[in-house]
Amino acid sequence: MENSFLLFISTAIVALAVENAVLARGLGTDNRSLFVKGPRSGLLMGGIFAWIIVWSAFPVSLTNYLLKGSPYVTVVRAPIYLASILMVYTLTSVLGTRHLKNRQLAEEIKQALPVATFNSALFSAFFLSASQNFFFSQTLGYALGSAVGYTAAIFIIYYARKRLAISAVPRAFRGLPILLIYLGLLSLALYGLIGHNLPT
Amino acid sequence: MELSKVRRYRKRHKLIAALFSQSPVLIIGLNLPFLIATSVSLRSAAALSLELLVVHMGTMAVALLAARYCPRVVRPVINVATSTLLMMVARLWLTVFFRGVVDALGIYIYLMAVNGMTLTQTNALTKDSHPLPVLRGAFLNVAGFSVLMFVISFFREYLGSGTLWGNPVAVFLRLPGVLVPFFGFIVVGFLLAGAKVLNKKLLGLALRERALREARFSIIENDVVL
Repeated sequence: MENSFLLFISTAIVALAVENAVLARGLGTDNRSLFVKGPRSGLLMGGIFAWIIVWSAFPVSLTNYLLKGSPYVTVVRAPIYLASILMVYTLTSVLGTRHLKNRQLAEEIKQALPVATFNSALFSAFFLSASQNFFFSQTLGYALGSAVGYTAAIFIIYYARKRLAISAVPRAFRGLPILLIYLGLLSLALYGLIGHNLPT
Repeated sequence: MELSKVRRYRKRHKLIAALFSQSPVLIIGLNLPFLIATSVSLRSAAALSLELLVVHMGTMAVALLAARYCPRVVRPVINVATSTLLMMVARLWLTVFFRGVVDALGIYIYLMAVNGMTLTQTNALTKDSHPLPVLRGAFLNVAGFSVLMFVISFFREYLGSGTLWGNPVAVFLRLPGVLVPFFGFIVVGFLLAGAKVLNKKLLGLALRERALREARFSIIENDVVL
């Protein structure tokens, strides 16, 4: 029990910082998720991402356990992962629109749900946990760590955009180009800290 | 300005615009993870370009039908399911031609199922979307992505690995650091800035052409009046 908890925590920290989906691998660097309008939108996007990834981790972990050693694992894995995510997406979409009393929040969730769900960062977390043969507690920890890391990256990008907007940036570099160079320098700092090859 | 020259310029401009100035990769930053992390060899660029061609064109075709006959709420699910199935087909096909590369690409082969370009463009389709212009635009966007992948992969493989298409070549300076994702971020940032400058020049040329055309017609009108 204690061992599982330690594995959960350590894998979550690895996913959050060392193998951050956005900064270490460039995943989820989509304009729709990069340019959030404010801290509330960022928190909403991160919250939905966390909700979908954590609940999807249960069927995904079961799938990994059942498919271990199977010769068809590379063929069958992707559609089963997608089915798990779609199941959570559909339930969230239906329950969110019907049972949430705050209609404005329900509408915001409805707008952000497809962007936060069908995201390379979310899918990559499950494929990476499968490629590293994680146990259930590790898969759950990796999912939660990825969600927190993704949310942190959204906020880093939001505050970076604000600072870059008031800086003297050449016209051609304004907006997305300078933001990508900034992320590259952050990624370089992270690479200098870790100094190892990331698993694929 | 001769009419034939204007016509040739317009044809070239449309192609350049579809490949670069109106490319969703350069304008709104879609499909960046592939440009940043996997553009480290020409073989990877070829494999991912072929995979995107299959996934994007197939999903757009199905999305056109879904836009006509399915409710809006269901369309993202249909689009993602289609792109995942096509990704699996493309992966099996690519394993025959690029086995080593498919293994090296790892999770990125699977992530093509949720690439930003396909999901954004399929979700933007409406009931009134005409198939031919949509599919032609989709093909040109895939071509634009492929050109960018090949250009970035060429430099990164040459400088980082000292090879081209897996074959060792003479290189005056080797920089293994260009193979790491941080360099991908920086090089794509510069590429986007270059695309902005190119767009501005093309827009300037288009405005100049229009001004010349209007001046020519106004001179002819004056002659007729006189």
